Amino acid sequence: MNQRVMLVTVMLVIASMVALADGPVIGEKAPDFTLEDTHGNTHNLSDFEGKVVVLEWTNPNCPFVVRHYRDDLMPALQRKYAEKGVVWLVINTTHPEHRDFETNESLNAIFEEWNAAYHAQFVDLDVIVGRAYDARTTPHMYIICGNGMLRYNGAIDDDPRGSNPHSERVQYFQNALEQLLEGEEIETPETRPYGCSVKYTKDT
Amino acid sequence: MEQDWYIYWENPGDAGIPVEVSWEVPDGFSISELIYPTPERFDTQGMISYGYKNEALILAKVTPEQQGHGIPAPVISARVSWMVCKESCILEEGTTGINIKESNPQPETFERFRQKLPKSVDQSPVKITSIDATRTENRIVVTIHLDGGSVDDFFPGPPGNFLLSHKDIQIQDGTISYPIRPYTASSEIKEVSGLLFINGTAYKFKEIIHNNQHQ
Repeated sequence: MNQRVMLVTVMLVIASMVALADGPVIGEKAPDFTLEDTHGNTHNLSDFEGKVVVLEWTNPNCPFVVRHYRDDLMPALQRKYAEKGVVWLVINTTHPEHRDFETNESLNAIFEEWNAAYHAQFVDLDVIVGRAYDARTTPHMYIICGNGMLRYNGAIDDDPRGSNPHSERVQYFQNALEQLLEGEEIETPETRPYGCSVKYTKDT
Repeated sequence: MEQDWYIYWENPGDAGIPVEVSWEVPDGFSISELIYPTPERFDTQGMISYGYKNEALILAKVTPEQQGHGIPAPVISARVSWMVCKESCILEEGTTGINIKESNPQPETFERFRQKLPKSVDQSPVKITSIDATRTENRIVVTIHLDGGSVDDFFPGPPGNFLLSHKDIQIQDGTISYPIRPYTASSEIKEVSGLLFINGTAYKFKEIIHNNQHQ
């Protein structure tokens, strides 16, 4: 392919990704992606076809994320559903010049201290995957079924501050995952996520 | 707040959470819901937030239930929690109290923010004639019909258990419309609230949906 054709192709691909900025649709194919994880290994989402996949957007400098990890809420979910064959992927979309940006070494150390039990954490340096999923907050949860369709998009639960006892919170994400694994219809497939905004640019 | 930091309005927008207050009010007194001055809109790459930068005063009205409460110096205390953001966000909490008998400690600040309180839509030159909600599968389009002119801007109130993408709000001559999606398929939207902006003044409204149609 000559250089000019390649350039036009790249621009068309980027343009179509920007057009997807309205986000993935429940019941439709979740956007495929290729990212490197914090140990330098590259994966495609399509590598996990046939498995239920969870995507969790994260930023360890966000107080909402900190609470979910320090209170062992997120790691407990990660452990529980790993046992049921769910592939749990964490995605970190943080602009490299933003003050919240952490190196791979730092991310591995932080999440290890928190006893995280995810399959892998991916670093989305070009912020393209965040845009494709219209990921807005950290945390922001997505569930993709074995066929690659998006089945849940939104908040982890209904309690941004964690002010209610755990048993009183509506577990939007976990309920959806349980219903999917049981083959039931997902009653509440979409909710407004809460958390810090995803840092797409260095100033946000 | 420190320069360029901001907190959120009662509808924080696409991200963020509003202020929460738990009050401790002595017997014989009641306290109103929070009364918000007109916020600003912040647009970060298509993600819309509503809030207050650098400085904010959110009001609440204390009402003695009867004349002559007999308490010499009633004290109201509040535990407030808020999220304040600049590039990163910080969740903060604080407790404060006030003795009702004291005179206003900051009259200029109070007056400045009282000026920023939205007016009632009853005083608006533009009226809402009706609000429809038209549903196609899981997507509901809310249309606010106006009479008497058009509006310069519209900030929706808290959407409840519905998803609203704030950049998709469309304002045309005579109508404001925007799509929303319910959290749960069986939910219907019952009322709409928000601020209409006309010539630099904000007017607050809350209306029941007149027409709920399925297509």
